[in-house]
Amino acid sequence: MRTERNLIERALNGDSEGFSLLVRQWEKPIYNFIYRMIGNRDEAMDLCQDVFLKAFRELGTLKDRDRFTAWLYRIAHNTCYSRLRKDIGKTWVELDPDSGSRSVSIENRIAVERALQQLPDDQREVVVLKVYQDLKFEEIAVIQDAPVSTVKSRLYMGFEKLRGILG
Amino acid sequence: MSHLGERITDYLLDEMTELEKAEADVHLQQCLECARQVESFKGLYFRLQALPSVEPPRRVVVETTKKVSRPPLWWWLSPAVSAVAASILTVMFLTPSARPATMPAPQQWLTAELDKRDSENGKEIQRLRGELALLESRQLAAKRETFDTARSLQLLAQRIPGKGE
Repeated sequence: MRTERNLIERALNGDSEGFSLLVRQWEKPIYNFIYRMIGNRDEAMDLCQDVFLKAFRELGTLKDRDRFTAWLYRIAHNTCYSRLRKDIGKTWVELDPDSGSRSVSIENRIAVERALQQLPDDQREVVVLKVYQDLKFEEIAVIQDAPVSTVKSRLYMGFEKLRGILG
Repeated sequence: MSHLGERITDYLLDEMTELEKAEADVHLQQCLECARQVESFKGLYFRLQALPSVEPPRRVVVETTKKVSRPPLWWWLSPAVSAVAASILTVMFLTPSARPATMPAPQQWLTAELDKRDSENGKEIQRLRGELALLESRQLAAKRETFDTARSLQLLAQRIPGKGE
């Protein structure tokens, strides 16, 4: 946390290396979050690029340096939602057997990815942020701009739906 | 205690206090319905977690030659002061100026077109930089591997009698 704070300060003081290090630290988690939300690898990469560009431009507005994680995911959330709004009705499910670990059966991976894409956006987001990104409920509440109780309900409903889909 | 309901995810993710968890444990020993749901959610959770994370197809590159813009001073001030500042600015902008407020239509179109192209070119440059960064990191890894192989061969050659002399 302290290192992250230092990197933010360095970036604000014009040290480009500071921001580059933040990008290196966060690009994979943010990319994975966007990919799970959007379901398309190339598109997720372009959006990930946009997220860091916005973060760089708006870094000065981050008042509480210790809330960088939630702040960055909030930018990713806004980016994903503005993209998802354009694609209402469409479903992206990429079936690329070359990506990811070989140890997990491809059938299971495809089934889970498809099931995730069938959830409503707000429920999928909570499942992704909790299961894959290991964020706290309070952080997810900031990202979704919703009460913690709502976030918890969304996770429960998401799990119920996934259980129904995956059997 | 009533059924766990939505608190099942709290139980599963270890988000309960000691007391809540103890109460839930007692309930689960008596309630087959909740116990089944916990087991089912647990299985689902592990199945979800088995999904591997994905490597980004290229590196993110952000053009950092421009300094990060710090917010204007009013952004840090209280809402009241900000409101006053905003009012002053509004009055200033509403005051008629000697310069025409709008550009001629062709100039507007040209500016918009140039902005659009700048944005498109910028994105393409960022994408290519990302690919270049990835290729550079792969090249570096290949160089290291070559160096390690050469070093191993050298050591091996030294161990073979008559070769290391």
